[in-house]
Amino acid sequence: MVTLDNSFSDTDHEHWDGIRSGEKSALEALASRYYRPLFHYSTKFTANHAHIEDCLQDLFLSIWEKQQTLPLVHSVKAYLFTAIRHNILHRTQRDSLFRPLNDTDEAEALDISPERLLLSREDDLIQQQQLKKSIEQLPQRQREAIYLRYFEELSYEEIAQVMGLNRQVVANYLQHALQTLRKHYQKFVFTGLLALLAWFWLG
Amino acid sequence: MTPQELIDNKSFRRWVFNPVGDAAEADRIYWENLLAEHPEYQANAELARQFLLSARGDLPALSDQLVSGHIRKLMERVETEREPIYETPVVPLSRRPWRWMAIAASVTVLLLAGVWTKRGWMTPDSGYEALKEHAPTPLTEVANSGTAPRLVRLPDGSLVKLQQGARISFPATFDAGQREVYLSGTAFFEVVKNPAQPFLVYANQLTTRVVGTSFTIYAPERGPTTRVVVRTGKVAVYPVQPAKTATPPATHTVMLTANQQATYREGAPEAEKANVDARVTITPEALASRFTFRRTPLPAVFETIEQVYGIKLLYNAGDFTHCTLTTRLENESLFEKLDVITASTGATYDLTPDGSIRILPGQGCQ
Repeated sequence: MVTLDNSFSDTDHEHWDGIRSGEKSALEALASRYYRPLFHYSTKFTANHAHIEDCLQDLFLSIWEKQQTLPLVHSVKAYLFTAIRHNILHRTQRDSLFRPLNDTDEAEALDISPERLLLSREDDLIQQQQLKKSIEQLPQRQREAIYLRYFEELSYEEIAQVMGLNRQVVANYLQHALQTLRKHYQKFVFTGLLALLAWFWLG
Repeated sequence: MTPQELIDNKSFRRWVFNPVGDAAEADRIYWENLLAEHPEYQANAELARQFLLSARGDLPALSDQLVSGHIRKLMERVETEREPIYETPVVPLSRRPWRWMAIAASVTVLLLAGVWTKRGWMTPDSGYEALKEHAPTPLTEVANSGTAPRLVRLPDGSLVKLQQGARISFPATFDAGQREVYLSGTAFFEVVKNPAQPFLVYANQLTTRVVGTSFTIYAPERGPTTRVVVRTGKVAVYPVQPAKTATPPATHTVMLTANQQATYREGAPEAEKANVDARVTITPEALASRFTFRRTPLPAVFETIEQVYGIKLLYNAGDFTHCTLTTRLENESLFEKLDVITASTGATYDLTPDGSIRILPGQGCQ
């Protein structure tokens, strides 16, 4: 199911070796590849972009300073995400943005009359909004895990490393998030059926 | 296909997250065709899509220009800091855009040295007096025998705030290659940035090397321990070398970054590194926000300076009641800050013989 993109990680290791032997171009290539993903990930912990930029500069500079003493890593990407997570959390005392949102807008959007429920497009929309809301209300570490898994394509092992958890905990987090999806899916099938029955009944 | 099967499909994920672009073309064609042929999957695909988009959440748009600008800045720093890094590189003021100044990390360091008098006198070749004797040029000494902090302006414009009982020695003009000062007691330093001329403080047996930064040293005359606390940025700390050089030794140099501290014990090969208590840390952001003024009355500006620097400014509040200031000060030293503040209001300031700052009103600001 999870296939690590080999070409990608091979290139990462080439850059890593390049940095270890003092090639500036390798640092530039690695930074260019990961700057945006690391920046985006950091925005989950702080809204202060200047702060994120400082942490990213520090991260790549410290990698450059280490050169030969840079550890040989299994996953360069996981190393970078682990490091930036640590730096950001260390330097900011703010709450993480993975926290559940205040959901006043969504609640209003969901307040739709029963008649309109019969319209299947609206119905899809409501299901999607409810799913979105459920996911936003997941505990922050679960949200972080699904972000890393589905958006950043990290493996369970890599997520465990980045978040400092053991693999089983990561698996549980992801399982729980998927249950949220399944719950909505089942509800979705059920209401779809109801709508269909109602259609026949009224029609 | 259930929603879960869809989200577990890597190609589907790529399609959801990269709906446009050449790289995603194959995925896009595949999924659009599949859904056109199987409309029954449409709803599940929407649910799966929503799940993935919610998992991603909102992300700020980062333009290519912004990212490449940041990378360029990084590579410039790598270029200038190829040697061991102590400081953010500094571009001369005239070439330095305001934004860069805003971003450049200001560096604050606190150095603390504890004393245990029961250890007795230090060996004569390691203390303040002995270090001073080895100075290549004649030194001027300023001591604070009073109880209020005493301000000293060094030849390069750097600021030293001596606490009660502290002494500092420095040459009338610094060497071209380095700026060396000798400290006994507690002092706050705010060093004018000059990468070509590193600033070295010898306090007890510890050398603190910076290019331009601010820090406090607590270096009582006798004592086996010296502590260095870094607020932000980078600083090198190493034991005083037999042959003093501006270059830190390859070994036994401890690099400190934001909110780290090092404790050095007499005779140890190097200092020990640890983190600073989070309760006493000051973020550059917090400092920057204190020095952002919008039509702020001058007496309030002076109060901010007094609080941040822990000094007393001598001025008559009545002279400045109609003066307001709108500006943002960040990495400037105290003297530079005062230059900006007084120049914008026509006032002037001077350093009194006993080391206080006196602000004199200009034509007024009615």
